[in-house]
Amino acid sequence: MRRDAGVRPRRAARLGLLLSLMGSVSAAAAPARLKVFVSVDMEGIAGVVIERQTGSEGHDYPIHREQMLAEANAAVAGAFDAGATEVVVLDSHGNGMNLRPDLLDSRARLISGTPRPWGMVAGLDGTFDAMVFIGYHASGSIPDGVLAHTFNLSALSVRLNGQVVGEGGLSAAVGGHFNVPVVFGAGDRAFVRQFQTLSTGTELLETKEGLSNSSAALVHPAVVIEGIRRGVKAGLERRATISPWQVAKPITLEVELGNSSEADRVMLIPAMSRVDGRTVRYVAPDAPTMYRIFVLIDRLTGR
Amino acid sequence: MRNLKQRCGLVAVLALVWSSVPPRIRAEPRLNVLISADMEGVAGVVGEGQVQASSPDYDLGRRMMTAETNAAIAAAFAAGATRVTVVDAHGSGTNLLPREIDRRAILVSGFPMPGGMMQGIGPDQDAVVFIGYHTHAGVAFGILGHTDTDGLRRVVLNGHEVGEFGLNAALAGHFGVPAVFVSGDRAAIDDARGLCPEIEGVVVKEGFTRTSARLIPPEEAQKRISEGVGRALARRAAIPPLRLTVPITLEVELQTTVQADNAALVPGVERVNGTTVRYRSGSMVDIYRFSMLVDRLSG
Repeated sequence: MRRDAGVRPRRAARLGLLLSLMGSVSAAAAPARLKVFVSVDMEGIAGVVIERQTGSEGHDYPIHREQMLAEANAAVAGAFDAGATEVVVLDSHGNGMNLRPDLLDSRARLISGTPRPWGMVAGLDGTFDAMVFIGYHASGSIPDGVLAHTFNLSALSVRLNGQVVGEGGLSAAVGGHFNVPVVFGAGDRAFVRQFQTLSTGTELLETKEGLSNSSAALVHPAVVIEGIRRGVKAGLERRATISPWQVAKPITLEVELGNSSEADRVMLIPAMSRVDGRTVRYVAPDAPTMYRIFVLIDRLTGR
Repeated sequence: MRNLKQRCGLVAVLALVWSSVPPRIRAEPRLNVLISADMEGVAGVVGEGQVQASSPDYDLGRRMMTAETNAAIAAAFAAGATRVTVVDAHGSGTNLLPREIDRRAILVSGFPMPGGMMQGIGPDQDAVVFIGYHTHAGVAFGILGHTDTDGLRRVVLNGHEVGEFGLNAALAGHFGVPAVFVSGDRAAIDDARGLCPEIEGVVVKEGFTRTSARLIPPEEAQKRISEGVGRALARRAAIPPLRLTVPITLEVELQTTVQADNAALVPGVERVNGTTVRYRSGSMVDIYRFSMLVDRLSG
């Protein structure tokens, strides 16, 4: 600062010209900002069909964890293919330490660890331009949803303004609040079907066709990896045609819990109301508040 | 004059009729008593094992708790109670033996209760009696001192550090109901008197450390509780309810930052520092429920 004060007028003018030239050059060369948020879960990863494969104690976990990493990296690659300027990857499954930091595409930044008050959208804000969901799955009551659930297993059904949503819908609603569209989502067929009910025009990819909660006809993992890279690129390129999922405010969150005892506990939350023995309702002013209340309900139940 | 005489006569007749009506119909002044019974502060108890249902020593704690509660119930009825409600406020709320509790009282049992240790408090109660109470965590010589589960390291209500007694007495005060009696260890009684100077307190043991005390024989303790509850109810009009100035501020210091992360999810909560959260409300009912919620989240 101090040194600048002594700059002579001519030099200052030249410097000004130089700076304005640089400015115009960089505006022409550097692509517009494209910041991408990738939320990676595990149940919808190619090849995964039973719970044991998704827990760090399970003996096949390393295999499926490797595929989870490969799908995350495919999404990162697809994003940079489409001209992304910044990619943030969130490890959204279990303890949040499934994606190995040393093996993730080094161009991306990883958010790791739990618990997080913002669950599966930790780190998301209005500076992002697009969201991508990898390894997602349907909500608990869908019969052909592979490992279908919402957060911990006790939340049987979650409704936003009366519409049944899964984790995908919950994450999308927070994105919608910040005007960020979900441009791409990969998961089992039931996830794709459930996500389509949001009518956002999101690019979706099926990783398997569920036959029950714990069996599926698989799409080959290598095919899924290729599909994710292509799909993320395609979704980002046509992101102007994809709408953020904006839920009408105020948002009525209804959660059907596993039993009335859990609902008893949840009723301690200020302004919570009870719909029936095991269903609770909260009217939130916006999606982020709704999401935090849902995380709070999750903390109070099922464990 | 004559007129007045006639009237006086009429009053006298009416008074005679009135006094011959059985008390039930006559509607004596209402005296509904709520007894909140805990276990750490009953006579004879000094160790964790004596208050945990899984422990072989638990039987002592439970029997002492039942006997002291019965002493309080009997004293309440002797003092003219019209209704006595007992809340089993320890652990799973299934400590008091239903068959052994004085049958004139209503026993409220189980966990969780929507109203916590004060289930049933409201404007229809006239006095609260605390049996078996203890200090909050960190009080020297407080036998088994803690607040709710051990997750709550420090609870500060409008600037005063409180424990379960303080929260419960303030909730009663919200409804204009005085905390008239408390029994427990010496430190617990001193603590309670700090908040409610007029409260009748009975010391049943004097702590040397958190888990050792000089005991008063259980039967003697029960006798003192009985006498104390009688005195407290007789002079209850002189014991003011614990009313807090509003808005009420509650600060809770938790053991870990993860617990505070969870508590901070509650709408309206302010994070004071890594392990401390703050909540404000115009109503002690909200504050009380918030304390239960935070306890739940950190248990």
